[in-house]
Amino acid sequence: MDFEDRSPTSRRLTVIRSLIVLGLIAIAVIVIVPTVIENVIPVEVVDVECVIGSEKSGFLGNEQVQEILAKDYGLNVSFRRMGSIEQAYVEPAGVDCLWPSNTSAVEIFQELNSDLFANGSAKSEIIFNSPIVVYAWKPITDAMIDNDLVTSTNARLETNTETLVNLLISEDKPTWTEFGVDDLFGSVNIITTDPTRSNSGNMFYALMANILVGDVATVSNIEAQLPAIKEFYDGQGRLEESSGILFEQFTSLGMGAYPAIANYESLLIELAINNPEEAQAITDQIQVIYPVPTVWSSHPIIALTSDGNQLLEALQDERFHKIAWEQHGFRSGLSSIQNDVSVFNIPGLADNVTQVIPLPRSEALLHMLEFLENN
Amino acid sequence: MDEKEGHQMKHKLIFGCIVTLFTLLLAACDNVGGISEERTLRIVSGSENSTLEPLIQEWAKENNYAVEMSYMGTVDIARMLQSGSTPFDAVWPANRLWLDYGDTRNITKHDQSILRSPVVFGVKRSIAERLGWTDDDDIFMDDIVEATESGEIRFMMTSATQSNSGASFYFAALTAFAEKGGEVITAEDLESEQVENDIKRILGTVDRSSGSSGWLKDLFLEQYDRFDAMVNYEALIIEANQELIQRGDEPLYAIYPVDGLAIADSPLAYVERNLEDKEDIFLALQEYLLTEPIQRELLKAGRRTSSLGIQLTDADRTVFNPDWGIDVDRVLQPIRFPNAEVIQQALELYQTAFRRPSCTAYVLDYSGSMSGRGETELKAAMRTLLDQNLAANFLLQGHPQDVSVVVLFNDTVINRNSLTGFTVSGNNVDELRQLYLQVEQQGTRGGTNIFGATRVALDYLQTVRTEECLPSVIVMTDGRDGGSEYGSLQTTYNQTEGDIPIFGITFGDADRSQLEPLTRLTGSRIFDGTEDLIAAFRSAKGYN
Repeated sequence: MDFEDRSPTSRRLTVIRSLIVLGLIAIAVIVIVPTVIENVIPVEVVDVECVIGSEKSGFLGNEQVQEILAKDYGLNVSFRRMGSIEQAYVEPAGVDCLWPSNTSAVEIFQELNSDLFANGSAKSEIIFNSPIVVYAWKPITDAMIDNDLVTSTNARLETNTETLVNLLISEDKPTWTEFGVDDLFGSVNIITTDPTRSNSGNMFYALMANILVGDVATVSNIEAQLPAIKEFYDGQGRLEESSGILFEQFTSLGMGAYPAIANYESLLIELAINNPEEAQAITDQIQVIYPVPTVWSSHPIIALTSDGNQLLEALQDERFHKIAWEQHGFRSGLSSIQNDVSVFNIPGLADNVTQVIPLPRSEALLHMLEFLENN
Repeated sequence: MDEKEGHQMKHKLIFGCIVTLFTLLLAACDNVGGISEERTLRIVSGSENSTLEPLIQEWAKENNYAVEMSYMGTVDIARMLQSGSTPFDAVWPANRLWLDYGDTRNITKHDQSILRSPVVFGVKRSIAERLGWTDDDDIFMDDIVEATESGEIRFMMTSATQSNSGASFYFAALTAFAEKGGEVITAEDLESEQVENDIKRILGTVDRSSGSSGWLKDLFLEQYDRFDAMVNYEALIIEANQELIQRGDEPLYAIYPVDGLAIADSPLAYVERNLEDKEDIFLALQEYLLTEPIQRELLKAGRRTSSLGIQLTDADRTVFNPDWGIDVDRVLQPIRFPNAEVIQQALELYQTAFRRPSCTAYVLDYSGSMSGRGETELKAAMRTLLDQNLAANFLLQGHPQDVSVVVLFNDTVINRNSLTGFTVSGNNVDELRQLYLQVEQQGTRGGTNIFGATRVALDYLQTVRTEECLPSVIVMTDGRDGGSEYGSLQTTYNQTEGDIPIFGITFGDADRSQLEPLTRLTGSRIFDGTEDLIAAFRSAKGYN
């Protein structure tokens, strides 16, 4: 039997070897194992079931958004789409969150489910905003500028909402021809979605009501203005029921069919982002006009469970607001965040939208819609 | 077992395995060939899209899906949606207006416009030249009325209550005659005497109607010498012209009426039936149709696909040919459609007051073989047309100047001696109901003399038809003609004044090939009632 060599040199070598092995094990434990664990046994991910307005499906379906939610917050959000007002009447059981596109939906929901808010299990917060703007084809905005309906300052176009609304409801509206647009028949008009069925149309009519009342419209002070609003509505004929579809029709059917429309600011930004090759042509031909004042279409999230609340908290993360703005055109609802318009090459996009009036309360809005539908 | 035997056994085993594997593979391939229900998408579309079907089938083949396309008038698609039940996974009407009008139960979603095409008045180029229209961009609805009234133009358009191109032209004309100047027509406009007069003037000059735009184009090409113009989609005028040029005929010249134009936007929408697989196939197909290469293919096929405005900067001028009046540079200002209530009111008025009246002879098979389902469905179908409450559901009500005749036959004409009692002039609800009761009381027996009965109907229709009406004969049969009177029918037809289409509706063992010479001779078509006789009758009536 051979004996091992126990010389001091060999003992030192053994110690060094042992240290190297130990070091390697330590590296493995510190570096590799967590990665393996992370990949093999992921952080516990909670499923959150939400009902959302369709305009936010692009954002929640965005892979970057899903990754941050899963990795950093352990949330996996699944959603189904529903109109804002419909969401207000959703049965809360089995739903973690609602995400409509106006605060009226929150008000109505809150009224119907006051116990949930009283005991603190439900909570709401505005996450994104998008102002209601007017889109018009270039020859139309040129004519509006020539006729002092629109002003242009450093490519930013604005219209005085009071002047605009008074023109829209006036008995002898000017015609497009009188405005200098020889190609078009008919009188100057801004086409919206059907306010009784769609949120962006609803917002524009709310803005009209505020302007006509001279203040935030209420159930009592709106009464006298309803006939004028109704007359304008009746004169519009068939209106689209979805903001996305109105915008698609506006862009594809062109100036003859839709000289000017009212819709969300986010839509043009999203169109330009999704069609980089056509972006220049799009922004050359379609222009954004900001009504002064305008109204916000807010996107308040209503958390109904603790999982829903985790999502509400997670959505405060600035990274989401950057993605929402740069990829989907939603302005942040958080006062701490400034949206940078220079990331887009869209002339005329406003740095800030500051002149905003509050929406009428939901009962005043519902009263107006009822009048439009039933009289 | 010696080594040799062992080897042989091994070879046999291997061979056996190969055969088994091959058989299994074949079986597997068989399953792939017969595509499963989950991978099948059923689409109902306006007939104007039928020429685009190869593009869709190519995609389906590449992706191992099955796409079944059916074609219906767009307004009929809307009505099907209204009922809330449909066997289809997707609908492709010509205009979003009809999705909105029909989908009152919100069963469709994901609707996106695939292409656009304006509804134009296509008239033979030499006539357009003679009228000075080829040098004038500003042709108004009034100019068209004057030309059709003067007898200068014999034209066809689809029924406004069945098909989008007809409805579009109708609403465009109403808007023009109400002198709305870019505004929307109202309920009051529909009651205006002037609008009524003008719309009756133009509809009164329609020489041929139909329930679908694609078929109208085909009929125009077949009956080229009998007609001078048609109302149809710009895309179908282009398709017609391509064929006309090829066969050496004069092409049509497209007129875009300045004060009354509509644009079809062809939305493809998914019908929600909670079948997730189907929704995925639908979305994949929709995405494919909107990809740049396919949009370019559609552009080549005469459809407008620019995503920014209706004008086309890069269109092939041999397709969008300026010599055919096709104008892709002009700003097209379509009319604005009224709200759903006014649309409904206008469609009812079209059917019951404004359209050209129709003089229709129904020639119905009461032979013995009809007994059972055939008889039941035939009676139900006649009830749908004659009971005015039921007819209203399909916008097929009578007009005060309509004439309806029913001819019942087996070996002979059963009611030959009492045809007057089987004739109703006008749209009196009780009289039409009484006519139905007479149809209902009759039982089935005997053989089938289709052509003899049709000849009697044609002869009789000549005696009761008015000058104002559009005459037609609708022959329904479930069998083979047992008589020998086709020759004499043909002689009678050739001696008959004017254009009287004889439509066929087949059921049971009916021999399509027997009816085909008749429909070819008279420029009409056959409706297959095997699956649904009531629907076939409705469609046939929609052509009148």
